[in-house]
Amino acid sequence: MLEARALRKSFGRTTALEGVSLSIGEGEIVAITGPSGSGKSTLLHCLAGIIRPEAGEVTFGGRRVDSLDDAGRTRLRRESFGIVFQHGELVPELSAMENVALPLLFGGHAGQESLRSAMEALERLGVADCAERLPGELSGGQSQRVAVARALVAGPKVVFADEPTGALDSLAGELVMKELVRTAEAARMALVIVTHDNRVASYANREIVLRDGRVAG
Amino acid sequence: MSGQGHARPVGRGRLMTAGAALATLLLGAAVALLELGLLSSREDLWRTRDDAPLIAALALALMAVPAAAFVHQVSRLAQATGERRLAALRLAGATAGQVRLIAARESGRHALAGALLGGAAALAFALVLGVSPWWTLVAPPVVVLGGVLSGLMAGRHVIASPLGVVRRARLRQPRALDLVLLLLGGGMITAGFVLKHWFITSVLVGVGAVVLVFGLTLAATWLIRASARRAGRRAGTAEALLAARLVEADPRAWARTLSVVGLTVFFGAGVTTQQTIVLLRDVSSSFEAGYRLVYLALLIALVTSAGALVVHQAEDLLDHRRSFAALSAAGAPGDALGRVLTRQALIAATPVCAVAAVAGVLVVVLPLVDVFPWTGLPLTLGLAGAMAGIGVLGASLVARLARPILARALHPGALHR
Ligand SMILES: Nc1ncnc2c1ncn2[C@@H]1O[C@H](COP(=O)(O)OP(=O)(O)O)[C@@H](O)[C@H]1O
Ligand SMILES: [Mg+2]
Repeated sequence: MLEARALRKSFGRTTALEGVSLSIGEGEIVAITGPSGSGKSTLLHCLAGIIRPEAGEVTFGGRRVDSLDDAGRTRLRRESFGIVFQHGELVPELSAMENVALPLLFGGHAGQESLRSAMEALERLGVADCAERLPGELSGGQSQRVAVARALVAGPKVVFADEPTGALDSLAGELVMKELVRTAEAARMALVIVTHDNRVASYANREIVLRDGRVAG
Repeated sequence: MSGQGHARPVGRGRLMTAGAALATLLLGAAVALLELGLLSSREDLWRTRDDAPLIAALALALMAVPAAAFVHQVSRLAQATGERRLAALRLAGATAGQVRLIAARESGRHALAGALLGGAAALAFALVLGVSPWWTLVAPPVVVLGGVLSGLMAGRHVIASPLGVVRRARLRQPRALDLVLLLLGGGMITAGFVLKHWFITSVLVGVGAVVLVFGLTLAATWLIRASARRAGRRAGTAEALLAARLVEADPRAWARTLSVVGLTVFFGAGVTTQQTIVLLRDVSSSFEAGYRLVYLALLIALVTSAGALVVHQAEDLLDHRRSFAALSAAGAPGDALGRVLTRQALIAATPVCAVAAVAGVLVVVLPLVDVFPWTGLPLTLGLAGAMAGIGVLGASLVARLARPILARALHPGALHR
């Protein structure tokens, strides 16, 4: 469903990706691992249409992603993808529920309906009691689960997660991963997880190891 | 918690330098223009009217106050510069005094660089105008001093308690002192006009205006927060919700920058009202030059406060770099996020400018109720409305100007750490 062929991306003189190809099926859970600086985040950003590779192509459901213009990729990300970052990156001034409702609101859904769906997403991740609180008032694990709810709320086909548990202790990390995987499986979403934690990688059906911007195994 | 890598301090440093340069240029240009105004109006104004110095004093105050507010705004930027880093220094064992010195040296350095750039530009401006350039040289030292002072005060709470780097979510309750400030400022300005001595008057009007701005800032904080809450309750789109919540979370920063816009609208509405009365009652036309000077001052004040607004929006964007970049990565359209900026400006500026315009008209009309030419009321109200409109329009134009900064903040590079 999501495919990449011979991706190359460099920043100035550092080559972050070189000839990376992969394919991810519907509902599949894939871990991308490798040492720090090996190009994991760059690969994730190329797959998710956040940045464009210099060479190679990315296709989603048979459609080219990398050749879409800015507006087209923005729309694709909003409608078909969800993304979770290491530090959640919630808007600190918005309540948890409002943060989760944002993708729907940006997609043009009505206010009340969006907030209701946001509440349901929070419930699925077990953080409904945090709905009214600001991100600054949440624990790391709670705010990360809110971030997961935000990524899942619009019913994406693929969820990308960049070190989703990297800032958490192992117990909280375990909980976030469990909820993420459970919700993704229930909705048959594909899950692409960047991590260097073996326990996180163990949730995946398949592991792709990067080394110096190339697929190592 | 979301470490900003190295990008943030560098961004702030550049912003501080640019802000200091702009503040210096504006201050220098204000002085040069005032000189020019005094020179050109001396013939008809100075000889024929005994209250001409008042108008000059008013003009000077109008130009100096926004410039001072702008320097203050830029200084706050320096203050915010690496609050976390200051806290880290404290945790690593530096004394409060050492941290203060480091902060002062840093913000002083940026202010100096900016003041030199801006000073050169102001000098060139004075030479082009053909007025003596010496007075413009007052501007750079003032700005550098402001920068150093603000550095010394930097991150007070951080220095006192290194772990105190939490968001300033709590809003101070209103105190009687806020009201006293308003009365004091108003009293000083009134006293200045009563005394009619050009030096004492300019000092009283200038200082009074600064005090008034502080009082107004406090009042505006409450007004803006109420407006943001209302907007938040009625928000139906992501832009509206974000804008309302962002303003609600930090109404004081908006109040600080908008109080100068508000003051400009206040004076503008007052002056146009007075001019309407003068015109309708057909009093001597020797006022003309004086009005030109005051309008010039108002224009400069507006431009200066627009500069302060740009600084504020840029700072705000730097603060939200990562969460906005994350929203963009999640599919929020860039122009929708741009509209957030405009909406923020509207939510904050509209009530402030409206109240300021009404107050400006009342201040002139109330003492003259018995002689006020009521046929001129629609004209007066129209002009006051136009003044408020100019203030709001200015604020939203500034928000548009900040969009390129937004575009940079949304760049995926902001996600890289
Ligand atoms: N926006 C960027 N600007 C400059 N260099 C970058 C940027 N993003 C990534 N890089 C560089 O590309 C390489 C791969 O980075 P990244 O994909 O973040 O690795 P990982 O996520 O595996 O740690 C690194 O050398 C990194 O410094
Ligand atoms: Mg990474």
